[in-house]
Amino acid sequence: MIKLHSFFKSFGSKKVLRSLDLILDSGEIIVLKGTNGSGKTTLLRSICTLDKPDDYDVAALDGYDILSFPEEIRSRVGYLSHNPPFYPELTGLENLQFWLSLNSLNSSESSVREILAKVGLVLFSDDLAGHYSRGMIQRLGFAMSISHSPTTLLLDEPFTGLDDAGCKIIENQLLKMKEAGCSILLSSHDPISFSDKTLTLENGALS
Amino acid sequence: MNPIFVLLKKEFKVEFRSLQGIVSSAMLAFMILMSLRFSIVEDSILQSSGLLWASILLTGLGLITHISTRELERGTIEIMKLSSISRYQLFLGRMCGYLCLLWILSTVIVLIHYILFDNLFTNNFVLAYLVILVGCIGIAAVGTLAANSTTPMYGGWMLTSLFSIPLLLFTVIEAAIRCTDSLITGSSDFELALMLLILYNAVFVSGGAWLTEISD
Repeated sequence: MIKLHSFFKSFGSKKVLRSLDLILDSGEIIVLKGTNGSGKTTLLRSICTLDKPDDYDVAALDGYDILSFPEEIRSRVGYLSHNPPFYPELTGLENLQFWLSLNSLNSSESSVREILAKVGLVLFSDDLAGHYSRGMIQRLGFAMSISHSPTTLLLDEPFTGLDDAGCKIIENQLLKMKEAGCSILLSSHDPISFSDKTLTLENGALS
Repeated sequence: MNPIFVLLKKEFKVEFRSLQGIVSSAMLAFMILMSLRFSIVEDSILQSSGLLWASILLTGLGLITHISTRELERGTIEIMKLSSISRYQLFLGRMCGYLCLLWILSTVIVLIHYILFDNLFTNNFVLAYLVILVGCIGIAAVGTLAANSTTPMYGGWMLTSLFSIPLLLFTVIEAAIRCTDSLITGSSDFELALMLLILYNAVFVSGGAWLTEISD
């Protein structure tokens, strides 16, 4: 669950988010729309603690203030970047194992293969991630973002580079997570049929 | 598994599957030592350990900068930043990864130095090698701290060395050179210099971890 009230973020003199308000409930899916450079990525990065907001009245995730409890926030958030980062020298399995071990979670081979199976990558789990296609990287990034069972998912254009089958896999996983009570905030330029609400980010505020 | 060990293991896997950092740094060290070997004729310089430390400092910082820049360019630094571990653990994990690679690089440099300059340390060779390994701790700590702050900036690949060298030169490197030189000359400075070196290392490691933690 996310609550933002009067949320500000700027880069130098460019004010990207201006007095932004947002409430995302448990089990809700909100789609963020907006032109390029409107601040969708900045908003997602600020919530997951990768960027620091300038000022806010309320900025809480599951009741935890995002600046006061950054470690708590990170353990509760799953973030998928527009270009998911990965180590090309490691296999898909090792990339995911690294992420899970870093978060002190179960990184046994069987459990990691199970997660990769959810995104249709189990057959490629022993291939070097450097040999993956764009769509496979996107799936690996998505697997990393959901692997630690987050309460909130922040997805920056999650369907980029995916074929129809890939889109369906991600959609099914998102619906399962929604049923489990996970709050999902995703940015997309395409219409999303399964969302509860669509908000447009314009002039630094949501409407 | 301890997050510091996880980061260390990852650094080893990534480096030994690509060999990008170690091989290029070792080749640069060879070129530096080779050019110094044939351009310096002053016996007192050739008979001291300054050239060895200069080579370790320059190529070691180059190695740290290379790895740090690679993490930033790939965006993989964000994987680490998004993990729920403390920032000091992140600092120590990255530092330990750099340190182990630096130890391997230093071993190669010591061998190249041995071939080009003969064994300056005579019977104290093993002790000198251990001092070099201890000196690498300070280089890794300062290098990690500088890389954390400067890599995201424009020209970060050069700024890491620019910030690190002044910090290291009159602390870790000076103490380390005094230490290894005392092994060559047989002077009684060794213990004092080694104590200083360990003290500087402790300050830089704990200071780096603390600064990283409060900067979050």
